[in-house]
Amino acid sequence: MATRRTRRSITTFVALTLISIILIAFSGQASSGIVGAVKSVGSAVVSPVVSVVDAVTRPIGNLFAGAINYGAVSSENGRLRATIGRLEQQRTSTAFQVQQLKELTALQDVPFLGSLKTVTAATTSIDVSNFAATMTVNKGTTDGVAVGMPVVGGGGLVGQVIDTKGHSSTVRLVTDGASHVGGVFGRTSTYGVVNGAASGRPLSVDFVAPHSKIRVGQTVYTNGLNGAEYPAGIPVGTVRSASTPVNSIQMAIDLTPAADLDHLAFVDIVIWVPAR
Amino acid sequence: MSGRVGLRMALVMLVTISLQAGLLDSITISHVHPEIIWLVPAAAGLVAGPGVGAVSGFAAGLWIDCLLPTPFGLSALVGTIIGYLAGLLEQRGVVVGSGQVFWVGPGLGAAAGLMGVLLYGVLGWLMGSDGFASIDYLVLTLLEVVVAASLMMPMLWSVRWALGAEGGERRPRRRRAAW
Repeated sequence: MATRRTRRSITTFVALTLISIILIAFSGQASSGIVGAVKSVGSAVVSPVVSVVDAVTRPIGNLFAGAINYGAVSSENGRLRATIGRLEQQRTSTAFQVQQLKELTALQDVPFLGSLKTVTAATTSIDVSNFAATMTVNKGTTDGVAVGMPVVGGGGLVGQVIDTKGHSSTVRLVTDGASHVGGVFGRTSTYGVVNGAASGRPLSVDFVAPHSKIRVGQTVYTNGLNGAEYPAGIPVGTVRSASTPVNSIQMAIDLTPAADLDHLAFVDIVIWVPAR
Repeated sequence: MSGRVGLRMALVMLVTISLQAGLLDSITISHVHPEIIWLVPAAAGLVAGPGVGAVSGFAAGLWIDCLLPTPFGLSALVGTIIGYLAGLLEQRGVVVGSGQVFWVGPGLGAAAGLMGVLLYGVLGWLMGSDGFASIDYLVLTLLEVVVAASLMMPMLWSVRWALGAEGGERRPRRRRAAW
């Protein structure tokens, strides 16, 4: 026969399990209501402590990483200096063309990233799960950041703001399994939906007709179609493989993210909210 | 659990979550990192039984859920299960500490950590959340086993301190002989 202690434990376990399942059922509406408030409080309590721990441990981690990868860091530094030189040269020569493009896109009422205001934010890297590719940045509602705003940096689209508080925001990366971006292949009129899989995995593209002219190395940009989640013209990724499987109704396309998501110290949050 | 015990457990959870977010998240191999939050309910269960284990797992999981975009309540569910199962071991007389062979504590820690990440992945996948099926589970398993085994004993000491003498589910005391 079960003792009183055992019965009480079983009751507690069953009750907590049921509460968890109810919470999961309601998690779809997590951005509003009681669940949203609970999340905000829990996150607000942890964030300052995490920042302190991060500030203490990051230099130690950097020291080890720098010592282990000294050769790679040194050569990367050289490559970056060369890239900066090339970009400076390009910047001066393309200023005129950018201005022309801005005027043309304004005429077509298509939002162009260059004409949109951005807020620069530092990443604080709270990513406590292996099952969600997110990061936290140090700008929030007080800086004009809102849910849905695109985040760019490191050479392309980084992701989208999914939660924001006074001085911090959570960004879902393009590699997250729940990320879906409307894209267009280079200068063509081939459209598709770019999906994330998991951190470190290539992006995949859906809804591209079989045997479309897609080539490896081609860049995919946000398409900015009416009702799109992102303004047009942001590089999402480059094609690393493209083929049409036998009897398939669409192509199998993998992309490498355009943004270097592993080395993001700063990002730009685009002050642009998608039309709902 | 009294208020003081609850506060001390909250402190242990806060330190664990901070270490996770501030330090362990940056230790990535093949884009996965170890998760140590599952050690809290495992240690609480082993120290104080299934009831306290389940409550601790629920609280720690709920706190972690506040920081994640994954379904709210999923970590709480996993934490509850781990805490309860660890508590069942305690009920059956498994005592980690003096008198045991050295690997029992680390072994149970590795098992709890492994169970946490796998259960979380499977439940998330069953719920249809994208991305749960795309993780490198082999690397995650190896990483989790090593880190969880290494940190289980410090976690047990911390939880023992937090729960103190009164934190556990009271068991009938054996009367000592008076001589």
